[in-house]
Amino acid sequence: MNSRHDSTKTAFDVVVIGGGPAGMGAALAARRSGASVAIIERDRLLGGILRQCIHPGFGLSRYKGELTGPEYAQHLIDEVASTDIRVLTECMVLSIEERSPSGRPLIRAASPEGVVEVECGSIVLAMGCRERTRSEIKIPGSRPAGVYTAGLAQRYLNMENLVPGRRFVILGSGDIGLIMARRLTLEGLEVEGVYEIMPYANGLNRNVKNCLEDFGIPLHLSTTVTRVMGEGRVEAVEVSRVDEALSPIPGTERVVPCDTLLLSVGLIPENELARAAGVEIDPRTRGASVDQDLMTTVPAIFSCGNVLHVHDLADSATMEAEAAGAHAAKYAMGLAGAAHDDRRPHAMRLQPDGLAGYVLPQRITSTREPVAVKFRVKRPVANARLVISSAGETIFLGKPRAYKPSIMESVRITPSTLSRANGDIRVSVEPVTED
Amino acid sequence: MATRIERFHCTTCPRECELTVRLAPGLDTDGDIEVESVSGNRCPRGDAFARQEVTCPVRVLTTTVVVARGWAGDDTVARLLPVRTAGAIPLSRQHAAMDELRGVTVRPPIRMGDVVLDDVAGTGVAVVASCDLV
Repeated sequence: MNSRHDSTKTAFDVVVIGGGPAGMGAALAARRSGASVAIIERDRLLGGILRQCIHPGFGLSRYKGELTGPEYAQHLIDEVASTDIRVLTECMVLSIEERSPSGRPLIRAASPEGVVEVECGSIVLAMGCRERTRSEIKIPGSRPAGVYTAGLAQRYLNMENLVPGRRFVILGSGDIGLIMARRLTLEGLEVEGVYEIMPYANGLNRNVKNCLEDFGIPLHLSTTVTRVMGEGRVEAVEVSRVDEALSPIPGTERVVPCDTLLLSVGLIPENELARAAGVEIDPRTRGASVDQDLMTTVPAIFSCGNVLHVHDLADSATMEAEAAGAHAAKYAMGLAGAAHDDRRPHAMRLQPDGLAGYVLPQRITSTREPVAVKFRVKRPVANARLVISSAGETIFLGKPRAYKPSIMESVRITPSTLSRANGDIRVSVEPVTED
Repeated sequence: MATRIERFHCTTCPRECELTVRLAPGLDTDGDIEVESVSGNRCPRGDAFARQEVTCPVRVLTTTVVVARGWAGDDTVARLLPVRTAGAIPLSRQHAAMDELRGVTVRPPIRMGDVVLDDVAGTGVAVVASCDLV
């Protein structure tokens, strides 16, 4: 331990930014690896977005049982409390700098006591993501009150005891939108329907079934909101069918009376801090570009969870974070040397191809350990296979099966497979045609 | 009458197997739906889920209950306590359970798993706290 318990100046091996399912997982793994660890969280309590996700469906992989979001968080909070991990709450990181002359990272944060400086050996970014808003999808019409992102409405309803409206239209079939449709209905509020611009639902099947079908809430595919109407408060929205190019079809407009429009139209990793620190961002994920250890392009800065790429399940965010935390600890304690000895002179770059929308990690610099290669497909496909190739040679061929954009795929690639790669690696999902 | 076929996704785990359930025409001698076969499941839990789902679908219900004002803590920390049914209850009892829970107020300190209401809506299932509130 090299932490100095001074109120404004402290030093740790590993500092984790963000105290949600990823941040706590990273901190616990780093501590298990022997590092001194701090978590910096801007809210008053640990838990992150899980605190407002009161629905079940968490922990199926990690805890082998169905937990609610707060329960999943509580398990991690209890684990953190049983260690000497230092937790700084109500503390918001303002910048990541390089301390001279040591070159070690220095974090500046705002806390109720004033500015805090924390020096560390490595940093794990785990700030999660935020919701896309109306301005990002550019819905025409007036600008009345009553347009919320689904997650904000979730916070109002589940934490603040506030009812955001009476009669709802939900745009987007992402998981948060589906879960809010059920939640609002159970609270006695009316959900007119869920509208989805794509020809398929974007959320998990379990949520389509348990949140819409259970309550008879219609899901209108290939349909979007084309106008918001109302002065002062939303009075109605206009919805239209869309064609294959996702353009509204004239003549299909329908006016739906409602007082609230919820948007569940995607999440964006919250990477302002990372960008300011010089971390390269992958335009496909809008998260950091990382190597097999989840280290970004800035040495000593690691990234995991929803700030790296949007996950489908909290479990997978936590498990990814555990890997990042363990690697960050090794790096901070100077144990990464062994891996460096094996580092290739040139990194192998991974590129998505075919139906794969993105691929993680973006580069591999060491082939000592198996690598978890993660990706999502761009659209649903009934029968396709994963093809990983390098220099025109296939080095990994998956079994044909269905792929869906709502699922984050992860496949373990062994060192012996990786050793067959020669230069850059192409990760492709290719439809299988019957012939 | 012909065999009826129902198709739906299993919600037991993230694999989301697409299940096909064949139901015998009519009802058996006890007046229950008779399942001829379940297919598409990759584990025994899927079979059990499918049989439950076509006879009496059950779900875990989650909601919130009001935290009494004036407890030692600052009431802006938590106005509501997230709660869940300890086990799954019949889907048809969800609204009755919500009606009962609307009248419940809790007073901290509370630990995850503490019983907030036993036997909600005549289901025999307790409602418990989803997290600590201390």
